Amino acid sequence: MPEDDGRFGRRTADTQPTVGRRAFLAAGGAGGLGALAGCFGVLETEPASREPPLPENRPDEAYVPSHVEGMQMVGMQTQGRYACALSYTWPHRFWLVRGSDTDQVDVRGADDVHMMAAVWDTETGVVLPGASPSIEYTGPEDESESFSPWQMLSQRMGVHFGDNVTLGPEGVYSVSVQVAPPSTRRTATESVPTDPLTFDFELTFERDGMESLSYEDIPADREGTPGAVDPMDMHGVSQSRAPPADDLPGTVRGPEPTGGAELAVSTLDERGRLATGDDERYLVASLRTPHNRYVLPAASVSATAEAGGESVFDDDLRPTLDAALGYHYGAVVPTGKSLDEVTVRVDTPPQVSRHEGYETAFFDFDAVTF
Amino acid sequence: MHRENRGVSRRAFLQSAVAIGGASALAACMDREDVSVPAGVEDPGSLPSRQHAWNEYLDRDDAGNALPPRHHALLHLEYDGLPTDADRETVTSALRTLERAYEWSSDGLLFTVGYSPAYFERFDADLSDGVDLPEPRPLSDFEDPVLDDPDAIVHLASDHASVVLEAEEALRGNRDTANDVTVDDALADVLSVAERRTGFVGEGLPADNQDTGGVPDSEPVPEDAPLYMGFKSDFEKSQASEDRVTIRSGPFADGTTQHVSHIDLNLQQWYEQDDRDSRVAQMFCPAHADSGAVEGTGENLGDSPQLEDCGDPAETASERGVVGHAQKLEGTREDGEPLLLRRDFDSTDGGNAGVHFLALQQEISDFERVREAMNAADISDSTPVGRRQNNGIRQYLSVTHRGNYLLPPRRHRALPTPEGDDA
Repeated sequence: MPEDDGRFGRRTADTQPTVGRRAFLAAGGAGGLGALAGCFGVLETEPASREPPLPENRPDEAYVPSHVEGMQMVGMQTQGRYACALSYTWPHRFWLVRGSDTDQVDVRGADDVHMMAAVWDTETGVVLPGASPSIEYTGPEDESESFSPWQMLSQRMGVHFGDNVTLGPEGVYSVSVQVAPPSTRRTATESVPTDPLTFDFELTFERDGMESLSYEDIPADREGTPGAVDPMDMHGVSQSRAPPADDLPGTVRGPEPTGGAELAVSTLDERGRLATGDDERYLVASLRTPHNRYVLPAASVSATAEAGGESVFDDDLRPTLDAALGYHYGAVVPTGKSLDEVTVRVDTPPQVSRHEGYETAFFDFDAVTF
Repeated sequence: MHRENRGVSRRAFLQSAVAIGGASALAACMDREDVSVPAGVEDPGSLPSRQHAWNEYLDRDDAGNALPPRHHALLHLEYDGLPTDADRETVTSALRTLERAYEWSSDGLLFTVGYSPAYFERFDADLSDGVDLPEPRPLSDFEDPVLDDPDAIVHLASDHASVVLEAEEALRGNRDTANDVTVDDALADVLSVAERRTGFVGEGLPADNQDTGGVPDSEPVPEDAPLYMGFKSDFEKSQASEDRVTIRSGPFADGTTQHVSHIDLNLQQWYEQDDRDSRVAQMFCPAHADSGAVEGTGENLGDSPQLEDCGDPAETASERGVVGHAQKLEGTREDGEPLLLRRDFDSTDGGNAGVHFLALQQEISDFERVREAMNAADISDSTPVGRRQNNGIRQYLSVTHRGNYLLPPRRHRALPTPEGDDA
């Protein structure tokens, strides 16, 4: 890919002090990997996972992962009000979530990269967790493949779509990301375009280039401890960070911890087209990761509310997008009074797939009364 | 990337012969199959009035489920101008030749001829009331399918690859005989073949044909699976009856409508990332995964996918974060009966694992209703289930083509007018 085509070129997005992956491996930096130091021939033809083992005794909350890898930005494009960024890194393990179960997906020998797409609304800056893109790529030998990447949450990137992918021969791949703008409810009165969009990228795949992606092993005394690594500098790509609780519009309560996440509640007298009258309030539950404040999408959230000593609401909250509130769970409460007591329950944990460091967190939630 | 070099199995060979088509494929196939195919009827007028009357002539498994013919071809045909009596006679003669040549059964040949909205457009008159045949259109927010608009479509189906190939060659005018019956007239004398699509269904065939795009190299498709996704789907109780899908009145009474889509499958995630329980939850419902109701391909379920215990799809989606494909479709039953009679089959067309999703229903809008239930937009907007992810099997499917056709009753199948007249 040319450097001057207005895309990101070969920039490694990484804020950590790092060494190249090859150098790291050659130094035998991780116990189990030292034995591979003499196996670079294998590495070059078969760039499978060289991930260190998972930290032992992972806590049931967000934790510092075993290692951090750099990412190659392929490009960022805008069409109308929507933008899409495509990037890749080394293939790595992740966890699918169904209900409260996780299913660990290990790297296959044939996986070449972990490909990632992020989609956001440029007018509100809000990432679209419901974008559900599909990705089609055509390699230098004209072979095409397509797949629908999983909705994922990582400590460095927040909510995006990704999967481990087998590319094939080195060379230039045309990659098209197809997005049907999601029908996630919005508070805004204006209607947004919903026509399907295609974002086209060119990805130059070189195994040597992969080697130059940064790689940082996290020392044994830090990995597996509660916490998270910092978000990556994404060079203009919107990240799925919820506003700090204090910055939420309305009467804010919390954040309170639950299930390893943080939950903030706000009530507003009106919000866009959803709560308009004197006898309505808009109730917001903003569920986010600790440390990095990434929104936690695809959960079932319900609430009860009391006003003037009477129950005024007992129902599900619905995923909703709002420029100032971000992705949140919300409902119109049919009361003109202010809400005295609000109880929020996360009934089904966020079904977003998890990168390392998040796979044990956000499953076991207690009801929170504000 | 390289699989062990092994001989091509008989089944794989026969299927790829159908995919390749033509005289040499037929010759090779006849050598290989070497079967004696039962002859057809002397009087084609004695065959059922419904072209889609197949069930009575299909094999049944132990549970009584109708087993679809194993090999399939779809021919797209074009016709210029307004039909003449002479052309209708040619079409009738060509089709009757097949009926005389092959027994009306999966051991012989089953076939239908359908006509598209594009075909009926040439007439001044509108299509008879009582026939719901809109133009095909995209039916979900992700898809951008090619909207197929050949004038006519022929669906050929048999347990014998050589029969499908020979019948096709006869229709194309490339054979003097078909199963020893003289071919006097060919469909190709009046209609031109614009495209052919092919496929297969039944135990062993998907496994034999898994060396194709969309299927991981680990050869994950079970040997006994009738379809690529590894599960049985033609349960008697999840299929509409032929009566249900039949047009009741008017000139096209005893006809039906046919929707044919082509869907690319991507089974990398399905087989290499999802576990067995996730596959069962997504294909059937989470309750089936919990109870272990589905063994192997689901043969143990008998003649019903037993979805009664699956629960309300929206509730399951909300509580479990995943909703089953079959579970979502349960709500579309009418008077307890499914709306669609599925006669779908798998394919390697385009070098990718795919499905020719062929469904018969009384009205095309029945199909659209079922597809809407499969999209489950109301569920994905209000529960943790995504538009694709954990939403039945939507994650693994992408629709590439859609077409709608009317299958007239046998008496009107030769270049009909919108009022149902033919020769």
